[in-house]
Amino acid sequence: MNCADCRDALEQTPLPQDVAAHVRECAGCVHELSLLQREDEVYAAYAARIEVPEMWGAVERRLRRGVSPWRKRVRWISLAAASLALIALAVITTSTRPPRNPVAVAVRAVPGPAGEAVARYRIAIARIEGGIRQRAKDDPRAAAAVAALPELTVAIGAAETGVAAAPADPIAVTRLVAAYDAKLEVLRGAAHVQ
Amino acid sequence: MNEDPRIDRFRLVFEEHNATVYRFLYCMVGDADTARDLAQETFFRAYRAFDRFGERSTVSTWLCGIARNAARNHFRARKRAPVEQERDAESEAPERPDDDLLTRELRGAIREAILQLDEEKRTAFTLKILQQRTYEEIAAITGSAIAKLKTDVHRARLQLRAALSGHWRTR
Repeated sequence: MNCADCRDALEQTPLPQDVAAHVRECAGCVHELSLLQREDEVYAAYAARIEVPEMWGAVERRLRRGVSPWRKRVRWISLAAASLALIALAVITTSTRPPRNPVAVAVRAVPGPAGEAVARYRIAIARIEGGIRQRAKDDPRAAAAVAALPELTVAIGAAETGVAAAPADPIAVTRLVAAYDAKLEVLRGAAHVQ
Repeated sequence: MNEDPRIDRFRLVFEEHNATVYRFLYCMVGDADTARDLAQETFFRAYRAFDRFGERSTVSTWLCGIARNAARNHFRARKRAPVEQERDAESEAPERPDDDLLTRELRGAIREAILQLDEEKRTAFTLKILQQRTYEEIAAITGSAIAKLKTDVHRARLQLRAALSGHWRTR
């Protein structure tokens, strides 16, 4: 065995027989081995002198806060229950809430050239009708307007049926626009809007 | 008294291995506060994964693998070499009157020299020389080939020997 091979093997413990035999006869490798042993003693002493701080308290707190299986299960159940409650609330709210614009929801799409005018009437009516219905309990003018709405809505429905049957009939279109205009005027009168 | 017996059982694991884990991390990062944080993170992760510990390795090897990953994540998060961190010069035991092997100066020099090693050499050197692990254990922790680990340890030794040459001569 030569010195290079020996020094590659000096870190092994215990030393292989051929390495040990070479070391016994080689002053250079003996020196190298003693140097390694001296270094290892120093490094071992260094590692042993690293002071270890108290850590269990912090670890335990984090374990209890973070991953207790029982608490984790409770958290998941709570989350699931809250989600179900939210979904139920959303369903109930949606199913019981009156439509914001009954007229716009109820009416059919109007064909022909009257369609654009009707759309503008529907938007204008929708903007003020909700507020007037809310005021109807306290405001006699609003209450009177709300009371007139069913008849006006029926008139609109009849006019829409006429337009649907004859979209190009100018009389049917005029009647429809007049029906919407009448409803809008009633609402505007209650809202003091001229 | 703990309410959760699982935590009580885990405490036994902690008591047996916390010094090994902390010292490994201290050598890796060179800072007592960071090492403590990473050690706590290691045991937190170990607790979460304890049910999945398959005993294919020893608990100590398994914990050191987790600690190594925690250290690597720390280095990535810092996006700078750990040698640039602020070092805690008072994190090792104070000098004792009867301590003829290790002066405070030499301890500081060793810590600095270890931190000058690249991460792979530092890991291999710490586990092999400072923790006296077998190459098989180190391979299990790091996933590296044994031949590479031997090379890393050898080169780390030479680098430390050069860095500490002045200290060796005065010994």
